[in-house]
Amino acid sequence: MSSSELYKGEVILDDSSDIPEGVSGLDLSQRPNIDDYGYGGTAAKFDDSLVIPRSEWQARIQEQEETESRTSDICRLYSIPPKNQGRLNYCWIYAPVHAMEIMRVRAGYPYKPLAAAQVGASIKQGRNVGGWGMEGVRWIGENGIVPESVYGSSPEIKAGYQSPAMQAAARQHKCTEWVECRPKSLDQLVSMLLRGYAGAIGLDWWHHEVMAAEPVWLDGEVAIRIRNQWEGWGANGFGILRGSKMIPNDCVFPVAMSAIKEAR
Amino acid sequence: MYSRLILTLCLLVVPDVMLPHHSSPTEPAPTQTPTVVDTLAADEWYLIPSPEPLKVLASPDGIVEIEEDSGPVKLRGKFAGGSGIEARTIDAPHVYLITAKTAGQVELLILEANGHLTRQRLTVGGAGPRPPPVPVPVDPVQPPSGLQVILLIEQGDPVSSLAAVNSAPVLQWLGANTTQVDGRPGWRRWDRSSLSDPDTLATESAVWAKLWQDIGGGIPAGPQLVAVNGSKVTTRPITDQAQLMKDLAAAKEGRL
Repeated sequence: MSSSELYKGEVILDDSSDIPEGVSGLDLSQRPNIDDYGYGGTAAKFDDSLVIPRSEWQARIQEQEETESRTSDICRLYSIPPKNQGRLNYCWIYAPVHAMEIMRVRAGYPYKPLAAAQVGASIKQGRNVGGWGMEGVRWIGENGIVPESVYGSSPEIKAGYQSPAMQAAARQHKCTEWVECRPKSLDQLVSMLLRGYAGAIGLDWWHHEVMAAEPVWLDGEVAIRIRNQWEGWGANGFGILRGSKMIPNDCVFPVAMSAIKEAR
Repeated sequence: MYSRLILTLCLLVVPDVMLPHHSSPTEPAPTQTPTVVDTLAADEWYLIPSPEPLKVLASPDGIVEIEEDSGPVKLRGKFAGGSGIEARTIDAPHVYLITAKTAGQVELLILEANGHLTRQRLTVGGAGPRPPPVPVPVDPVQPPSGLQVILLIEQGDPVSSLAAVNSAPVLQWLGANTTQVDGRPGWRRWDRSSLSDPDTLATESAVWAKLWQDIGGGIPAGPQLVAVNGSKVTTRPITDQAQLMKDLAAAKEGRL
């Protein structure tokens, strides 16, 4: 394999690219330890024994592509569309929620779109403001998240986002086990992706958080395929980050599919 | 009246809350000294059963959540003052379930219809997984019919094994060839580390919980395919996608 095949219309953002314009919302000002783990007990720290050596990356990427085990393959198989944050400054919750949707499917649950807007509105008490990953991870672990079938799929802050009915519906969809990667650690990010997990990465240069889907191999080096929650962006939401643009300032993965609580 | 209030909460019939006027003349005298349960972990229930409606408040707000249910009710999970996962029958018409929202100190205010007030301080553990109430099945669990599959993995398993269980062809095959249970496809991908958490199976259907109870102890280490076809249970190591697909096909045909 010389290079991974790109999807038609896929956006590539490298060191020479301008910052894409769109609604974002990442605010890392409240994140402790800007260069180190910052989630405290909300997410487990990445286990360094799980690092996959760089010497294996190209072969492992090829294996993912040949076995169709990439996140983009799962999205195609189950027709999982990208999310759409619309005018909401809630990228920091849309990205981890999309990763959670995909983890549910990988664990054997039917695809069920989850209402990121409801979580963002609940955390920010109805305000359309920025945030960062841990706020969402903590909330989803404690309170869960409402399906779009209950809240609606449009990206808006609706009255009643924290009504008793919403709270009851949310409690049925929790994810309590997450893994945090150290900021700026490409090795940890790529290792988690090669192990088949989709995560959320916060990118300071973009003031934006997106879902990290899988690594790709381009021109002899690794790059990261992301899925952005901007309507109509990229190839069905997919794009590529290269060079310094793929280095995350915040990074968290939902990991244990069986920890996604599903009431019967 | 408050004398009829029975606050039997714990496995050993030890009340979580001791009311000063508690009496129950028809019951035998307790054989042990009751201890008041004053701590509540994140994944536990603190129960207050009562023959009459109560008003149960917590001060300050935000530390615990209080839900009212009507009994009798069977619950399975962890209970304050108990020991691990238990199934309990709460045989009272009014049941108040108190669960942790965040760590802190809280005072429960339990107001009876006659105006009597009982206060109980609680130390509440930090937020974490909390299983929803899971009714204990009344009917015997029927063994699954057709092919059921468990893919048993860990984060640290070989990358080829993880690629196999994540691959679209495998997931597609599982969706098409396993027999549905409770309206969901007849397969699960479980992480071994999360299986050590009793909450995992507490939230699964009775069929899968029973299946794991019966076979879980005999599964070899490492990433494993567990194929259940009627009463026949077979395990195979998951090495790569090609082998896994072969093993699944063989399991479907009864050749594994």
